[in-house]
This record gives sequence, C-alpha cells and structure tokens, in this order.
Amino acid sequence: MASEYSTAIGGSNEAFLKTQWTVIDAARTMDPARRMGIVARLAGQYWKPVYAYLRHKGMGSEDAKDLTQDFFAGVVMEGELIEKADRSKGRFRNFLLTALNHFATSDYRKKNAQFRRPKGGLFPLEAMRNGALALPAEDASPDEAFTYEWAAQLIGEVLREVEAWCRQAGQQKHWEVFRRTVVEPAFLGTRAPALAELCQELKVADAKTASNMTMTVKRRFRSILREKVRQLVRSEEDVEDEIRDLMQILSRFGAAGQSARRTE
Amino acid sequence: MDGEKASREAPTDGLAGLLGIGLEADRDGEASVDERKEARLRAALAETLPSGQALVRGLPGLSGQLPMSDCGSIGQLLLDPETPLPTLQEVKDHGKRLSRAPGSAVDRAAATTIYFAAIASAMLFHDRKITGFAHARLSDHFGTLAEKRWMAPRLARHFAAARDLCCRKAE
Repeated sequence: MASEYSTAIGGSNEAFLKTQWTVIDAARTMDPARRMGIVARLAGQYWKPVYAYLRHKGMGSEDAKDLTQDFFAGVVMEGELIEKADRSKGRFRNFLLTALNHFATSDYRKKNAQFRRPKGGLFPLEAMRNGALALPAEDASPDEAFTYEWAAQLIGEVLREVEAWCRQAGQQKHWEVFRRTVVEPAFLGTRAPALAELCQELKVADAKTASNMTMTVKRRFRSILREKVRQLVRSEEDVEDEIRDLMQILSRFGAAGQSARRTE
Repeated sequence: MDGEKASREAPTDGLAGLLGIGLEADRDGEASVDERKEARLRAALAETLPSGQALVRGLPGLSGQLPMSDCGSIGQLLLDPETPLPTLQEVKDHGKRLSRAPGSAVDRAAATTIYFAAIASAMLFHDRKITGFAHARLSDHFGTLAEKRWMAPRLARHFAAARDLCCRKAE
C-alpha cells in the first residue's frame, strides 16, 4: 500500500461527494457527454481494484492497464452496467466485481472488442503509472485481489478525510498521536511507541490525554468509515457485514502477506 | 484498560484492525449523538434530489442544457450560487418531506438543516424569501443552526451569512 495512504487517483475531496449509487442513478438520465464524465470519475476511483483483478488473472501490467480502460469504457459507459445498477440488489463492490467477472471471459471481450474508448483513455494513463500500487500476495485469486485493493483504497480515503477533519478542527496533534499509535503500527506491522516518550516528543500533557486524543480521532474514523461503507451497500444493516468481509481479506493478505506483496 | 499498556501491545490485526475500528461500540453516548447527526447530515447532503430529474424533464427545451448544478448532490445545490430558485424550492420541499417522514431525532436534524439551508440559499443567492417566516425569526433559526457542533463547517458559514442578512432586513 502506498506509504502516504494515497491510493485513489483523480478523485476529488469535495465536501459533499455523492454516494456511488446516486451517481449511477444520475448517470442513467444524463446526456452522453455528462455520462462519460461520471463514468470517468468512477473509473478514476475504482481502477485499482479492477487492475489488481486483471493482474491476478495473469495479465501483464500494460495489458491489464489497457483492459482496465476497456472495462470502464465498454462495460460501464457503453454497456448496460448503469441501466442494470440497482442499489436494492446489494453492495456496489459485488456489483462491480460481477460485471468484471463477465468482462474477463474471453468470449465477452471478443464480442465487444471495439469499445469506443475516448482518445487518450477514459482517465489519464499517467495516473495509472504514477499511482503506487501494492498488490496482495500472488496466491490471491483475482476476486480476492479486487477486494483487497478495494479495502486498501477505502482505508486510504477514510484516513485522508480524518486527517483533513483534524486539521480543520485544529486537532493536528490529535491526528499525530493517532497516526503514531494506531495508523503507523497497522501499516508497518510494528509496535506503537511508548506513550511516555511520545507525549514528550509531541508535547502532550500525559498518557491519559494522549489516550483521549486517540479515542477522539478513532470516533471520527469510525463515523467516516461507516458512512463511506453505507454509501456502497444496500442498507444500514449491511454496513457491518461489509466491514467484516473486507477485514477478512486484509487479515489474510495483510500482515502475513506484506512481505510477499508485489509493488509496481 | 491502561492506555500505556494498550499502545505497547504488538499489533496483530494490521490493516484489518483499522477497519475493525468501524465495528467498535460507541463508548461516549453524548459525543456519538452529535457524530451521528453529522454523519447523517453528510449522507443526506450527498444524495441527489429524488425528483431532480422530474424537474429537468418538466422544463421543456432545457434537457441537457441545464448547468451541472441541477444534477448535483443536495449539498452542491445548496452552496452553488448558480442553482436556480425553483431548484432551491424543490430542495426546501424535500427537506420538509424528510422532516415529516418517520425517523429519529438524528434524521430530523438532517432534514431541518436541508430545509433551512435551502431558504438561506434563496436569500443569499437570489435575494428571495421562499418561506413565510419573518426575517427576525429566520435570523434566530439560522443562528441556532450555525452554532450546532455537528454542523458541516461550510453550512455553518452559510447559515451565519444568512443570519446576518436577515438581521439587516429585520431592522
């Protein structure tokens, strides 16, 4: 995973981002030019899980990049993906993965070989080249690779929003304590630093204050994470199931798989 | 649990542990109400108007030519000075419907915010009052909402500006 939690490309940090399902809903009735804009934004946001899937299908890097573009241009933009999208049927992640499974079959690709990909691609290939990507271990299935990247990207987005919230709320020190005691150990697989030393370094009054700071940021993290997941599932009841499913993938390919992960 | 001891325990869950924060129970009831309101409001603002497309279709000759803001999220519509007045009226009505629908105090807080935010936008961007409330009363409502701990910062500033405008008009 990219060291600065930056796993999304082309995504904006608008104050009021639409939910993915409402984006799809809106795209249905828009004219083609606007629809392409929306699809391009979706592609910018979800290209990594799609790319990871295709790489774990055995494709080389350049082929996988091309097919990633083709998937969004052909299946999402020109295909019936948008028309078929129905929030009531479940999670957006599974919806996209199902479409990707169909796309990956050679018969499907042959039939739809002439996708009208816009000149220059649906989204900049430079972004694909510059976006650091750490794939899960090679024994991950394509579906697992997709889900792993999905989970990694979600964590990155939540962390960026939490950090921004802390800055806006004048709680930069809270963020720093949280980053050092929770985030870095999670990413690096290391122990958290001793609180006494950390308090001295960051000029925090005492360990209890540092713990309270961590709890404050954790609550914010929880709130933002649950809200983001809520936007991608059918109902509130599905939020915890989705989080558990993503945790399962990360547990399997996280700490144990970190040393085996490929980076490109 | 001793905070110092907890922080020194070797992490066993790694990245999965980060996601696991999303499953932790709230420990501070009072803080979580404000957090739920903030989260609920953010989600409500991220939605599009349910009747937005109907509004587009109802305006002959303009389909496909309307500015992007008419198809934006409710939050974007509220803060975009280019949002047409009829659209703001639609947002206000949407907020009113939401506030009357069965729901919790958290849901009603989000609905009320949307309702009054649309009124504020109409005043700030179009200098029009789309409500029967008097300016003095509106000033109170806007001022109260601007001070809510769970209010989105941009909306808080929006309400503060509308409050000041209403104060001037009420004089």
